[in-house]
Amino acid sequence: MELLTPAYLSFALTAPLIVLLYFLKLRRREVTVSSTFLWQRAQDEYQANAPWRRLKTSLLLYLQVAVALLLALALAGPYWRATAALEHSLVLVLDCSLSMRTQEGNQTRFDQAIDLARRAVQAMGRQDEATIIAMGEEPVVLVAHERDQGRLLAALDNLQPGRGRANLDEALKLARVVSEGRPHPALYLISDGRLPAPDPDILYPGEIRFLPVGQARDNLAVADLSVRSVGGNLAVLARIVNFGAAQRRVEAELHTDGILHSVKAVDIPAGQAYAAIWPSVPEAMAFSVRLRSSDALREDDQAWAVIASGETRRVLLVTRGNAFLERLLALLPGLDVYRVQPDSYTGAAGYDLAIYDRFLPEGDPGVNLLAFRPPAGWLVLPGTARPGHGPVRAGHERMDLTAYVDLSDVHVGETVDLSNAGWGKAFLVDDGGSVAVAGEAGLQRRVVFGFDLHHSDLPLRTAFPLLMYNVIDWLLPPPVGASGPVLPGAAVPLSVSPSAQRLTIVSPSGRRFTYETPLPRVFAQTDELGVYSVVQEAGGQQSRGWLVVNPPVAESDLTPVSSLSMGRTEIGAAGAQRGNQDLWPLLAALALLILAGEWWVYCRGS
Amino acid sequence: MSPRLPSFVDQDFMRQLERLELVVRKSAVGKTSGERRSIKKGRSVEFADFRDYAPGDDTRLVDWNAYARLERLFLKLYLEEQEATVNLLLDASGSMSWGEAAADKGLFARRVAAAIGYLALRAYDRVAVGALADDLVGYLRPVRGMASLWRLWEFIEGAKGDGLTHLARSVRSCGRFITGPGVTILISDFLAPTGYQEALDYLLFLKQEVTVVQVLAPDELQPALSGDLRLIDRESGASCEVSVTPGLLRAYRRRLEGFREELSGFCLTRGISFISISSATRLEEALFDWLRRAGLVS
Repeated sequence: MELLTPAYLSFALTAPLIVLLYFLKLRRREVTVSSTFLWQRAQDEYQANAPWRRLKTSLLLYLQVAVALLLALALAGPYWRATAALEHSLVLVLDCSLSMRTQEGNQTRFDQAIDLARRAVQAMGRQDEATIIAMGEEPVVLVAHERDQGRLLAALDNLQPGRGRANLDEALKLARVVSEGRPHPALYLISDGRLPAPDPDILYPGEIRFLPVGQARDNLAVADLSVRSVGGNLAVLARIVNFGAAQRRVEAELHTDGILHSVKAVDIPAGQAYAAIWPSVPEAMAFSVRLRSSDALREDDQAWAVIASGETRRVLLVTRGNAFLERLLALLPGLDVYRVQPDSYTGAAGYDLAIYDRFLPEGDPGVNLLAFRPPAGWLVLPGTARPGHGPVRAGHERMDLTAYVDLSDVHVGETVDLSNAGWGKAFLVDDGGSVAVAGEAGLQRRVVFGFDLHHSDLPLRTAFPLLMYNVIDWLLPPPVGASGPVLPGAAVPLSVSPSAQRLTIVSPSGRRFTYETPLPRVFAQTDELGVYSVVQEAGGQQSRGWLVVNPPVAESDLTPVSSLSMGRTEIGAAGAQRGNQDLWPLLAALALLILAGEWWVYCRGS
Repeated sequence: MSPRLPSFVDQDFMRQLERLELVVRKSAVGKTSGERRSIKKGRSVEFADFRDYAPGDDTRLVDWNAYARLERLFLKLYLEEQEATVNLLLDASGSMSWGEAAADKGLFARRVAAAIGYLALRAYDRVAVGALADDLVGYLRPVRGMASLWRLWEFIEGAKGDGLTHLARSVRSCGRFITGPGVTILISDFLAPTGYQEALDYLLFLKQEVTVVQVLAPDELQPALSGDLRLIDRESGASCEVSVTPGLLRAYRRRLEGFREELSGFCLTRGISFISISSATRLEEALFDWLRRAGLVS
């Protein structure tokens, strides 16, 4: 028999305390007898070993001491280790996602998970080792192959839940790596089960046990927030979801630049969403909607949004004449297009994007570029042109550029070989190879089409405007900051001007991150929810952008699950100890029985 | 105005008395010849026993017929009928006022004394009564004849004390009134820390044929106690802390049996008749069975 929490054995000190109290507070009933003559003699004979004889006279005392000892032992968490002789390598994967912050009584779900992990660590045998993985957006190994329970427990003590999602795939990959070649690997997944379905191809080389935490809780969340300009007015749209089992009435506050603008009371049926609209709000940079509710998860009661930038972008088109391109660029909003002949080209400084049609300058222009059928040079190494082979289709890389684009019946007559453009990935291919590539070189974004638009039927297809919209949208990111929603804890690609010398990011709580050249392309300190300010300095000019981190909607449904699907296997809830038989319920039941017996003896005795 | 009957007297009690006849094993020398036989061997017409001849014996009592047959000298012994003074010494200490209702030790002892006194008066014996506690607390000088019955019973009725038990002192005080050989019946629970030996030896010294009647209540014989108790002595008020368990109860019963055997053995070695009765015993049972077995009634 082993003990999970031997420290609780100190409660056994209540037993001598009971004995002491028995001696101090023994209450005797007075009974008159005809004579104590014989009683005194009998007592003298019986108490030959006084005072210990005196102890033997009280069955109640025995029973009370027995109950105290049993309860102390039960608190210590005794268990039988069924496989104590084997050496095990445990991997404890703790869910650090936002939903683990759910408050349940005095504890959060994360606290419960830590308790389970502590019990698992304390149940380890001397030969066992354990690895602890914190499963957030980017799973992290806290300690690996550690046998020292003190270090393992210290690692658990320092662990905090995040505000993003849990990346189960990455956690499983990590667990697989750390379990490689270890004896009897076993993975304990401690979570409320609000996890994305894992990749079935990720196989763990040992037993997987799911230790669930949490109970079903009602929750309200601001699932989405957007700001649009409608007819010259700003309109705010918030989607509020009731994840509970009963209709809820909630008041939603709209804040503009941190100032309360208005409050809207809404009734939301169980399991449904409500679209709250503020049709006309004053001009501001940042907007947020906050729910006046007191549910179990407070973090998802607020969401933020910033108004999209309306800045016009300068585009330089270098061509001898391309009606398709010129007409298309004229149609795209927010672009200020300047067209020059190749002979008149002097450089692209001051432009946000340079488009080269069958032309390539001698040196890197220093801005993002789009090229059609460039001659061989620094961008594309000399190679042979080849005829098109079959229809054009989307490549396996940079799928975002071909999103929503119907490429059926698109062909090219001739294209240059782009296979030697090592900086880019093919996003358009035909049977002969790459047709178009996209990539980044330092802070510069590049897209190269290997064919002349005049030697393709692409401009004649509906795919052309959509494809070009995607390409130019990627080539013209917001001046600074990040485009699109950002999940907490995620590493965010930053849009920074290639000419920027300094970048400063200020978090919602005021934490300041300042970077000098070379500037980072990715920002990962996104643990806080809210609006981050991003300021870049280029040539003495400052430009400001925003980075909005909202709680992930998937974490707001707090209904715990009792089993997880791991590939083809369904993993049900398991006990905290592997191969161990808990003895405390037995001891507690025995203590209750003795307690009932003590009461019976007491009643009979009186 | 007719005198009020003592509390221990009822019709049943009276019917039983009429069937009793007292037998005193030793006859005592008295001033008046009585009807009761004495087991003291003497001169009378009723043969009692033989014994070996010893030098100095009266040769007129030698059974010459037996000598002719056996060639050994035996003396023929005869029962001698004499009048006796019956001394009833009744324990009237606090410990005797104990027991539930009909099983009250004091009541039971008074009934026994009253019955024996009644029988003695009917046998034309003289009856004296002493009430004992920490000293002699009451004494009825010898009375004779049935005319004295009410006086006797009234005295017995009033023999209720509340003091300590000191048998030696009280018997010595009583000894001043016992002027000659006779029969003494001592009725007590004998639960006295001061002992009983001296008192009994003193009665033998007074040439008394002593009968000891120990009366104990049922809850003294089989105590129904349990738990942690502070026992208060009915007589002295002294306390004794005990935790009553089966083990202690066994020890108590062992001590009680030891005490009774000690008292019984003491009596046996001195030719004292001893009986121990529960106060729950029905009076007639006590009077017929127990007193017959002890040779006190026929």
